[in-house]
Amino acid sequence: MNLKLNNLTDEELIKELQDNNTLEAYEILVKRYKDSLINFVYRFVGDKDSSYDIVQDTMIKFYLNKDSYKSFAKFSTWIYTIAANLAKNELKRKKRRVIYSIGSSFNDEDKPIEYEDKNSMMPDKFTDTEIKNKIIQNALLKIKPVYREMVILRDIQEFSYEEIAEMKDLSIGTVKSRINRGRSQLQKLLKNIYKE
Amino acid sequence: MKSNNQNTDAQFEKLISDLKNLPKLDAPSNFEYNLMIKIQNGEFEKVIEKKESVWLWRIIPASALVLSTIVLFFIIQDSSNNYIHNYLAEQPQLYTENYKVVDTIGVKSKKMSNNSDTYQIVVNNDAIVEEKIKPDFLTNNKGMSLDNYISESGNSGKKQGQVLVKSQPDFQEDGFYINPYDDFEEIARLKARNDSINHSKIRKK
Repeated sequence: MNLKLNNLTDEELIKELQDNNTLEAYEILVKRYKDSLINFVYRFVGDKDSSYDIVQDTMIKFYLNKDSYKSFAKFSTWIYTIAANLAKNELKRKKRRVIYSIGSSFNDEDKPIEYEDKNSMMPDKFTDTEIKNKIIQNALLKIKPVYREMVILRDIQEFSYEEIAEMKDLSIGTVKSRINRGRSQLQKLLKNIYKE
Repeated sequence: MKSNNQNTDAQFEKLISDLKNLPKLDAPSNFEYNLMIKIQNGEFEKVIEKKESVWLWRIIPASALVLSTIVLFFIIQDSSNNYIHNYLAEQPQLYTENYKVVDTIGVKSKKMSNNSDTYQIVVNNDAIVEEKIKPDFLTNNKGMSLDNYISESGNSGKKQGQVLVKSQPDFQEDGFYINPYDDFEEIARLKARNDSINHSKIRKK
């Protein structure tokens, strides 16, 4: 039974879950999407523990509302929409809970990120690549969420423009425009890295 | 269209490449186990509760504002009922019934006129003057100040020393309105004073 279910597409699996309440179909879908969803949410929210919780909530919501899924849409579109909405809610909650530290600046969105002196870092703990990745992630968190989401879906999760447009219920032109704006903001923040 | 995409992608080539090469974060090994435990224990109610609390913080201040406005409205309305009526600001109502001369101590004689439109006034020097009073002063129900009436043409000087006394005065307030006295000695004294003033004026002429 497991082999047979593993060969089914996402849409067939969810239909099996809706019609026969087959828990194995649900488990297969969770296995297929958990990693990519966690990666997407982590890049969007910036916190590992929060991203685990958000994806858990996404899967639970998927389980509870499985009957609301309509077969004319792709399953990946549907589940990414749930995950994105929960991630945005978490961001809003974080914003309200933020603790202001003395000396922190709130107008540093346009400020380019300083490339840390690699000599000050312990070589056995950090590599160049790791430092660079950290800087890129910080830059991602500085751009507007509406652009950040688009850039992550296109450049990290590698969705097509059409899939993103269907997911967000936007025109392809709007999707492309937002992606380009997000990339421009990112490049501006990372200009110190790309100077080298 | 494709060439446009390629152009924009070329502009951000290095950035796109770095984003693609970011390390992928994987789910922890116990992710599915924890998930199934939550579903079996019915812990998914938390997901629904979280959603409700997002709206709660918006509704509570708005409803508090509305409630406080309603309470203030009722408080203000209630305090307005305690307003004390200022009788001084009111024009006194004059009765349209006939005024009669009342016998007073010190006044020498009295006479009642049969004609309801005229009035008889007794003064200390024994001169009895019967004069017709303007009907609108008495017949209309509006309040009228004595000063205004005296200052009208044809009425000046006539009413000095005269007191219109109602048969049953109903208020005793001072001010610029007609103030019926109960003290008849006082009336006589005032009359005498007015008479002496008039006499001195006539002599000067």
